Amino acid sequence: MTTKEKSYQSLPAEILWKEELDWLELYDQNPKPPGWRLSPATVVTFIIGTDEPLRMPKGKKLPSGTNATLRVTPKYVGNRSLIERCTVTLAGERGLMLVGEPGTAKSMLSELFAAAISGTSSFTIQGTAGVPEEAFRYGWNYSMLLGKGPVPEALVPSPVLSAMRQGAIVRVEEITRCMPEIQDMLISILSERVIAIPELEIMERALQGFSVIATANLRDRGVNEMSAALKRRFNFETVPPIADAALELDLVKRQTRNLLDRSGFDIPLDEEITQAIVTAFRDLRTGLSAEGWTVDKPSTVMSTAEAVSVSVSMALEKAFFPSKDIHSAFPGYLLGTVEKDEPADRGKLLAYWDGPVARRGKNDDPVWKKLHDLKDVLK
Amino acid sequence: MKSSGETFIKTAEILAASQSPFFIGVRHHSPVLSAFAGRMLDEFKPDCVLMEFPADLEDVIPLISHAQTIAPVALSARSKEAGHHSEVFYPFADFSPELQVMRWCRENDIPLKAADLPAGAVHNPENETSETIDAPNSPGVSESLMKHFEADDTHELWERMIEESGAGRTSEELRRSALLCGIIMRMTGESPDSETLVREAHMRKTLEEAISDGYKRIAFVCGSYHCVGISAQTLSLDFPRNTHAVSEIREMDSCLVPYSFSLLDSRSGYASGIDFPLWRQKVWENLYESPDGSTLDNAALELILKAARKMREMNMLITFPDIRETWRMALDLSALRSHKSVTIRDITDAIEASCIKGDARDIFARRGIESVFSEERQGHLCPQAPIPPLGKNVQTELEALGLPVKSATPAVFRLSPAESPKDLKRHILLCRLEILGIPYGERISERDTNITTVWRVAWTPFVHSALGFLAVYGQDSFSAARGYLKVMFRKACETPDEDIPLYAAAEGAFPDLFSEMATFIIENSRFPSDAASLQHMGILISRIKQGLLYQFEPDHDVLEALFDIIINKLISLHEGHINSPSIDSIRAISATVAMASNSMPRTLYWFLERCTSSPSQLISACGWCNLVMAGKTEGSVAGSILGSVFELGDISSARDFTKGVLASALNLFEMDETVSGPFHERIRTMNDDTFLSHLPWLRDAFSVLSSADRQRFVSILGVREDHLSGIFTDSGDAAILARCDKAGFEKVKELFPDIEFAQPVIKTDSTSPAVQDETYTVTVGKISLNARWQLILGIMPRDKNYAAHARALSAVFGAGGGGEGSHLDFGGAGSGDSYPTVREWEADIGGLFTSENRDFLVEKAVRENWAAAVTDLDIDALPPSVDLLESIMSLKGSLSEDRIARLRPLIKRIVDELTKRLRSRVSSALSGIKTPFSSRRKSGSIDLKRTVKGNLSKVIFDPNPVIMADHFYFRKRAARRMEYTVFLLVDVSGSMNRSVIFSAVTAAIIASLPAVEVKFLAFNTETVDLSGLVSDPLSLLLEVDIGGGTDIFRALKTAHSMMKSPPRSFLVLVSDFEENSSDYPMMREIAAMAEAGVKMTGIAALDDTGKAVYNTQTASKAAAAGMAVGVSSPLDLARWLAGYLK
Repeated sequence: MTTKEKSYQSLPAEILWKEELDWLELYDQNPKPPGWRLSPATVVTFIIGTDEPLRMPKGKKLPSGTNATLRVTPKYVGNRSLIERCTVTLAGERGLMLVGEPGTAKSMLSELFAAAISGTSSFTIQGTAGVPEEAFRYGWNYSMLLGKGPVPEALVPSPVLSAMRQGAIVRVEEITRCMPEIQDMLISILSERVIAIPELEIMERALQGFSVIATANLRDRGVNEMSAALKRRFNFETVPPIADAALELDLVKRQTRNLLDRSGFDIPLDEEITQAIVTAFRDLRTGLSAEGWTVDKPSTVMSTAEAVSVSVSMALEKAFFPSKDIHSAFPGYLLGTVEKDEPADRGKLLAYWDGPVARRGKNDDPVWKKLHDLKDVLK
Repeated sequence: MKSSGETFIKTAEILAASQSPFFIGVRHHSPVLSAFAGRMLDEFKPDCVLMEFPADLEDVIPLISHAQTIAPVALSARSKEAGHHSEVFYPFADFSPELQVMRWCRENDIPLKAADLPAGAVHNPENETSETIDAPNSPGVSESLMKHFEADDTHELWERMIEESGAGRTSEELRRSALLCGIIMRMTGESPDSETLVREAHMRKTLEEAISDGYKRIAFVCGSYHCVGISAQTLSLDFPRNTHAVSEIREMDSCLVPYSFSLLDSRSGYASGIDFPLWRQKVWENLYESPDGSTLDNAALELILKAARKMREMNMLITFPDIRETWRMALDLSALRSHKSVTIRDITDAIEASCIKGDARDIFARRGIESVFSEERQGHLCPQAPIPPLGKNVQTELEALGLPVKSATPAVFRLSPAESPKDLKRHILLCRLEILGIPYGERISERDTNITTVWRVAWTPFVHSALGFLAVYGQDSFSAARGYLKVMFRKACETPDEDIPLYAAAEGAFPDLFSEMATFIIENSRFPSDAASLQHMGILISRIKQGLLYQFEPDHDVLEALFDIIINKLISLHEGHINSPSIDSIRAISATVAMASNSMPRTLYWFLERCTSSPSQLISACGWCNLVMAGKTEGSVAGSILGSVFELGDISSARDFTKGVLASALNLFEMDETVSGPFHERIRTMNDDTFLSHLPWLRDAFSVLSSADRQRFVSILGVREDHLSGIFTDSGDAAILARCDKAGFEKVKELFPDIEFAQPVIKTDSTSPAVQDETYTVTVGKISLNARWQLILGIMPRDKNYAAHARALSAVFGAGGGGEGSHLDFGGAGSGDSYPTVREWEADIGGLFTSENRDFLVEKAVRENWAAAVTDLDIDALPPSVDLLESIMSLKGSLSEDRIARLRPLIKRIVDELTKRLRSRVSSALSGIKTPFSSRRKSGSIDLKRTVKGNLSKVIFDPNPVIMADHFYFRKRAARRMEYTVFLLVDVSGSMNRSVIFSAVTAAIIASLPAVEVKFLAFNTETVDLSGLVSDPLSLLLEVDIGGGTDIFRALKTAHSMMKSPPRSFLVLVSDFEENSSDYPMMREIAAMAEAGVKMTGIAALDDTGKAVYNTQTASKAAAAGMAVGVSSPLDLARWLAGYLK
């Protein structure tokens, strides 16, 4: 990465993983669907990662500076079958719809797919209620339009049109937040793969490799709002929250570490507290503690992303206010996460404190014992 | 010895090369091997085949392999000795390699010998000797092997190595793979147990006998796990052997029964079962015909079509493009995963990705699909097979327990299972027969009685034939009932509406099944949604926990977990009642508290604590009482609150609180001094006027007691305060009696100076207001304590001064043990004195009670549905309130047209006032609504964008481009175009009166908006369209008939069918969500409408109080299906609408 790139807060996947993608492109021997940069099997490998390093096939000429082996970083922690199905979907004639709870890495996945398959993830539409039809079809540069009339230069293509012209994947984030009439523009685009531009009297046809990845939240304004005709042009995949506790802990630690590094200070990560955060989140998310005790689930989503955010905040607080006991902040942060819409959720958090937290404290777990003593913070 | 992968390969080579015997290692249900077994034998051309099959059951083999036997069938054998439960069970399907081998031997006339240990062999672990060398366990190799094949366990290993890569390979390749798989399984697991070793020893012996009998080409068909233990050549490889002979062989009773796919399915609980039997069958059929697997793709398509049909039955939208996409995905996935042919995993993944669209119906869709893959198929026995013995065995069992097996005349048996073991066995047997649906015994007693159960039994010919049909489930009552219950369980799992047969499992004494069902219920949240059924379930569990269910002991943790969840669900249901004004809510809460009494969870405490601060005094009282009974609060705390009700300004609050205490904890009030003390004290010490002013509501509160309660209360009062024991005698004599008693006592003391007597309490009748500590005063005012309680309890007081009060109150509250809802007939019958007309009554109470009380009583009279009260009284004088309107509305049905006409002005006044109040609040929220489209009509602001777009063709250059627009487009303010339709569905079943009134008025206000059309549907069990009357709320209210049940589903369906454009429709459901029947159709309808784009909201109470009683379970399910539910005021509703319209 260049220094300029390092100074950005966040980089697209095709730049972040440029080295791996280039290497895999050279390595890939399998047949590729038309318009794809990598073959489906390699796309899966790119996202899931490998344990053993891959070896470049013998006799392949390598450009200078390229290693003969590469260990692909695991980027998505979860079910391999899910990634396989998504890849196969994109090779077909339907779009891919990723649904799931907030914070389950749907957007990250869509970015990775776009980068791996098309080499770019920049054709993106952020879905909001204000998205106009120009975002899905095309708009006009009005002054040029008035000056020169309807000429091709005056046309402002939408990300969808640009993706069609390049044969790339277009990503629509939070599609259900768009107005239904706007969403339905995708119906004919997905069936016919053509956009008609009557002002120029042309039909723009999509090149091979064009497809759509959409994401939607299950929580607010869910997929119930989508029209049936639109739904039928997508294959739906539900991205689940991380099932394995150890994997989630690992992920939270890694991401927290990344975010803390960006702050520029050398801030240590408290392992015990992070473990407690992840455990608490998992308990409240699933309704079942690791030991098998039932937990009353609050109505808020306890996503992994939020766990990372809490962990980062706590580490920062400890770094900037060292005199305060780090444990004392925990109940407050947890309450802030849990009590969002429903006042009853506070009661559920209290129940959690009286239930599993108390029991763990009784079993002489020092961290939990300390946390249990901080119950008053919650009242 | 090297412990590495090389050992595996080398061993596999040895086994594969072996010719004596020629090993065919199998898994008991393996479609691929079944398809190739015949070919393997064709190639080897054996002269004898040995099989892993119990030696003593060899005679059954011809029946199994018979040409007319249709699989699946099962062989079941039991030892002849009674009381021994050693049972063996071998199912065979077309895709069982053993069955294919049996058939091959029959067709090719090759002898087949059963080589396994006899089923009746007794295995004594102590007596054996074995070379105990530990198996060369190499975990590192096995882990990497498992990972390589992506297998989590040995089952999956076989799937990957054999099943998923069977197509297109030669039979020899497959044989080698199977042997390798067996070796891996052997060496990566634990050492084989002693029973396995004994069996393998027997198989080796049979092999040696066959060799010495002169057979040259012997094929050995056994589980591939065992091959290593049987081959002589692997003896040197340090695998443990056993050389001990078996001591005893019991005689076995065997029978062949037809079997079924549903029982074969691994989820039915059969341990060696297989998943997706239908697919396995298809794989076998296709590979048998074409071993290259080319026809499997079509088989997959067939299965996908079946699944699509099933999904359509569940109202999911599956069309031809979906099926095409699913098939494409399945084939592409199998290519991506490098499968030789499409596998079941590919198919299920493809279906899930293409057809399931993030619905609320997902779970059911998946279950439905799974059911397709285990579609029912039953086997048939050949005619030569003996009839299964279920009937005979059951008859034997019944005879052994002394139950009739000969006569068809019914006999009644009274059983005491708790006391007599024999009765316990009888009861369980009868319950099991009941589960099977066999019409032998009929239960006469109530289901939940613990001590005795009463049965009527009769052995009719129907019983005999029913037993014949049920043979597939088992050989005797235990296994048959169990098998049948398992199938019922499976079916209930897949159908969302059906109840899980938990009771049957408990009564039939199947603790493991019970635990399994309980676990399923917990994991899939299959709880009933109404409080009564939940309580029923909870009672069953608490009975089991207390050991009251006949020594039935399922898994303790599961039971506890289930109980906890039930309690929590009940609590969350009760949450909906926390503001309830009704006694039934108290009863429901108290029932739950009673159920949890042994181990009350914290959540219940908090709930009760929240109850205490509820705005509804009834619930508050219930909370306090239950907390006292649970020992969480001191009685004195509750007592002081109760005692201070007299200070509450609001009559109804005081009455409600007292009523609540009496309804939830009458015995607490009676027995606990700390609770009732202050209350009693106040009654005793307040002066007359105060008492009379409190009397009406006291009477109302105590009217909640039933006659039996009343009697008991009176006698307790008598015991507590001795002077009241004369409550049924003349009052005022108490003082005289006391004096006589004192005189008598003095005399006795004189006669017996040595005996110590307890000092009597002297009671004097004093009219002074002072109260002395040790002596009770009978009264503080003129009204004696006796009389006070008599008046409160509705007993005619002896003191004639207050008879008038009693009479006046009795007219409203009923005499004696009456209570709510008792109608009195004026001018006719009635107990004692009665009033000829209402006016007289009104005049009386005007004189006796304060005006506030008078209003209270008159309103009560109206509420008690006194038609006369409404017509004859001058209720215009009463302050107009929505409460009064509520009462009138509930009364409306019994009034004549004439009466209603006379009430119109009053009703109109109330409605107009309400409309005025609401309109000013609501209109502001609804103002300024624009339509989304712009039009050409000139009004409002210009839509510049549209104008430019529409006039682009009219550009002139002079020299800069100028648009000469001649058509202009404007953003239109809402005109008389009905853009949106609002459907207001109002539940008019009882208790929704207030909401109905507010709904009618709100509907009128919304209808006056220009852009909106309002449809008003009133429903109970029927739905009535009153949209024509929306603009006249008065007539609408008079048209509506309150009462009846609740059928929300039908109302929703009607509304849905009336919608012309769902995306432009709003649905407002005003209801308490107490659906009469199952709420599943309702949820489906909501989901369907949500998918169509209708915007929905559910309102539990649409009024100004913010209090609602509603079924939280149903409401939250509705919310999950797409209808936001809450309690709101008309203003909130307007805001919600405006949010969409603006």
